[in-house]
Amino acid sequence: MIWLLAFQLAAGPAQHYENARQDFAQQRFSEAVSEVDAALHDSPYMVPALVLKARLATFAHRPDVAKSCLITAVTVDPASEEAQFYLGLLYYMQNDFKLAISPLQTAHTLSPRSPLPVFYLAMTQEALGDETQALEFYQQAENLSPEKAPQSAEIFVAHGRFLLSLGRTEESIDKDRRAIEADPNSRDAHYELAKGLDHEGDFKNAAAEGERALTLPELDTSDAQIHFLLANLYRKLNQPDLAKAHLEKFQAAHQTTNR
Amino acid sequence: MDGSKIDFVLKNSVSPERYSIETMTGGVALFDYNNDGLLDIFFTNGADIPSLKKSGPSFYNRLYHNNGDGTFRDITERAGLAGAGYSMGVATGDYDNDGFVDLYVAGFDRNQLFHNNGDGTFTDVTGKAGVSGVIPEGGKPWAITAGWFDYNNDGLLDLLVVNYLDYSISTAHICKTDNIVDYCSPNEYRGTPNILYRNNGDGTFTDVSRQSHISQYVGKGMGVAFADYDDDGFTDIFVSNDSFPNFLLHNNGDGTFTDVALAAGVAYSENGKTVAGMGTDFRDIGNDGRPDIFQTAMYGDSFPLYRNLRNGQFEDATDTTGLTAMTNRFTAWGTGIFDFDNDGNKDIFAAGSAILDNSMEVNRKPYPLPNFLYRNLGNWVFKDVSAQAGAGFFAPAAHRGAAFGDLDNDGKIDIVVTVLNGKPQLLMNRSSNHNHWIILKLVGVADNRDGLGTKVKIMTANGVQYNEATTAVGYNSSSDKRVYFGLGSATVVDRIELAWPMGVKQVLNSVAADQILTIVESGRPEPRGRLQ
Repeated sequence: MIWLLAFQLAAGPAQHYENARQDFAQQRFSEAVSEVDAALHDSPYMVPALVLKARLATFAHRPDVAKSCLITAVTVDPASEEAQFYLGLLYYMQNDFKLAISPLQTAHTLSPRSPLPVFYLAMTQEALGDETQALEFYQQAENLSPEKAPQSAEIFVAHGRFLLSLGRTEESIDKDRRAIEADPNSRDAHYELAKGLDHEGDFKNAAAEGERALTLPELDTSDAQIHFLLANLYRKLNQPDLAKAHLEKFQAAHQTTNR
Repeated sequence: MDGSKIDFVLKNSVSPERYSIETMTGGVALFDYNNDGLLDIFFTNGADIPSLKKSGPSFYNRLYHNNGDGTFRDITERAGLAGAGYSMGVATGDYDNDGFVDLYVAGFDRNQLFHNNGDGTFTDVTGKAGVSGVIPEGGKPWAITAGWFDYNNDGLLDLLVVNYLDYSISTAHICKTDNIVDYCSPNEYRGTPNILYRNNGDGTFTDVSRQSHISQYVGKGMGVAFADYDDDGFTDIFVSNDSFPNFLLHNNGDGTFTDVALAAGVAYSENGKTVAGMGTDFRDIGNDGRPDIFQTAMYGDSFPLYRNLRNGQFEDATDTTGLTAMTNRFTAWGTGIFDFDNDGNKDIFAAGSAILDNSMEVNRKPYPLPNFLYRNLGNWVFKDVSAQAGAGFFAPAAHRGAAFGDLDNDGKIDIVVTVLNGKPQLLMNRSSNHNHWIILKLVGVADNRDGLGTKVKIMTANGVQYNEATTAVGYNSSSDKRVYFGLGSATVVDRIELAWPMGVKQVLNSVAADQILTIVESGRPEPRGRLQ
């Protein structure tokens, strides 16, 4: 035990940061916090450690701490793409959309091949109501995404959802199909495709997509949402028993509200 | 408002505790109290907290007389309408068929029925009429709004009182987000049942909430609108609930109602989520003779538009109309479906404002928001034209209720919007187009005097349109009872068909446009059915 304590005291900030990074990856958050604090104690302006502390603080619902770390990080090293991106992301998550643009733009400039800053710029512009800019950034994010990856599917799904909200159903369906190509196991993609097909009056294929979504792991789209959609689709398909069954499951499931 | 001489300020007595009632008040009614042909304006107001007393004139509800020259005169005290308690919403209707429109004020601790004496004064007849809003063995629930309609087609207006949360100042707890005190989510409290009062025709009412099954549906009501959505001859009810499934109360025609919202597809949004439902309107947007439903809600919800599919079913048309993208970032309260540019397609107005007065601090969302105008382009597509709608749509404010009617009788629908802790906005419609119009003032004879519930179909060279007479529109508010139609380029209405609630069918042919036409009910009741 004394040996371990001695080792910890002897470890430098780089080692503490590395330990924290590994703990974070393995979701050992309290250990990660101790390690990152130790790193920053020895080296208060270590940018990667500041970013990691900010990410941990975000998980702990301490946006004030996260913001302070990230502002320090971008002040120390304005060329840190990671710090700029996470600062933009934090602002986005805090609904500070106008503030999010600058760091996300900087992150994009620093790392022009990365799809994530552009993706968040797209969602930020969507939140600000700039339809043209949002569509442009979604397209850029798509272009930067690897062919087959869950991250690409997320971008396609968000792009498709935005198109659907604009009443552009056909284009939305196309994005959902591409999302499924990128990640056949994306529940969100199958659900959004089902909604689009429903709008187009293709209830049979919509129901098939909804059923497929139900078999996939739950992320953003809840079971309740899918059961609700399926209940409506089976009603339209004149299959009252199935409609009733899904409606009952919808009612039994936890329902969410925005407030 | 300065030119109008309306100096009313809506006061909510904001407290450090952030009692939920504070953010909910602010109704307005447009009605012609003295039958001079001009719409007058009534505002509800808050009260002192925690006493809930209108401890001074600044808390009075207010009635403004329309002078006919663009100005208004405060006649509250002479009219006897200062009111009592913490008022919320208002409903107008001539319940005793004497030709003078009466007022019902819904409130947190007091509901009041004011009988219009016909001489510019009103009398509080709440006790005598039996419409205090008290639930037997349940006390007085928090009423947000109310609406007049003739549910049993007996020619007498009945009253639906919409109640919200089971909430009291003395037991309310303090809610916080990130250690900042804010208004509690409605999820923190149970809902309360609504109340249906049947008009006995002798100045009294009977609480029929239980036998009509109205009280078995316990929600968190914020808005109410009426329409006969399935055209069976009986007026149905839509109740917009806050973070709770909406109610579509189908009138069974035998004095009972059944909530069919889930089966009809209007209980939840398309995504299977409840929305923070606020105001609502229930009118035919598609000119197909079937009333559709619109609701305002809070950011992240979008404002749902449910399209009536003609088979008892509705579909969520928010995405396909483009309204999701237009509304998803905003919160709005008052609303109404009216043809603001008289082109023959009904448009949508929404009065924007966040719910929390410290919204910026709590969730980085601005509290004051502008008003919104969504133009109906036909074929179920809308366009946000707020930026072109004039200065009244640029100024962010804490908007609440909105009422609709033609204040200067120029054929264009004006809007009065209340503002929490501010003066109301009077949005005079100065559309510069040359579209024609007709306004129908209905006078029931066998039916209720206001003609509420009458279905109107018009035919012009530009096509067919439908509307229904109602004053229950939006949030906390009551609109002009007259029925409005924009006619586009048509200078003549080839045919007007009316289906009065008790079954009288009436037809007028070749009616000139650009007039306010009074139609007195005439004819014998026919078998119930739709306007063909």
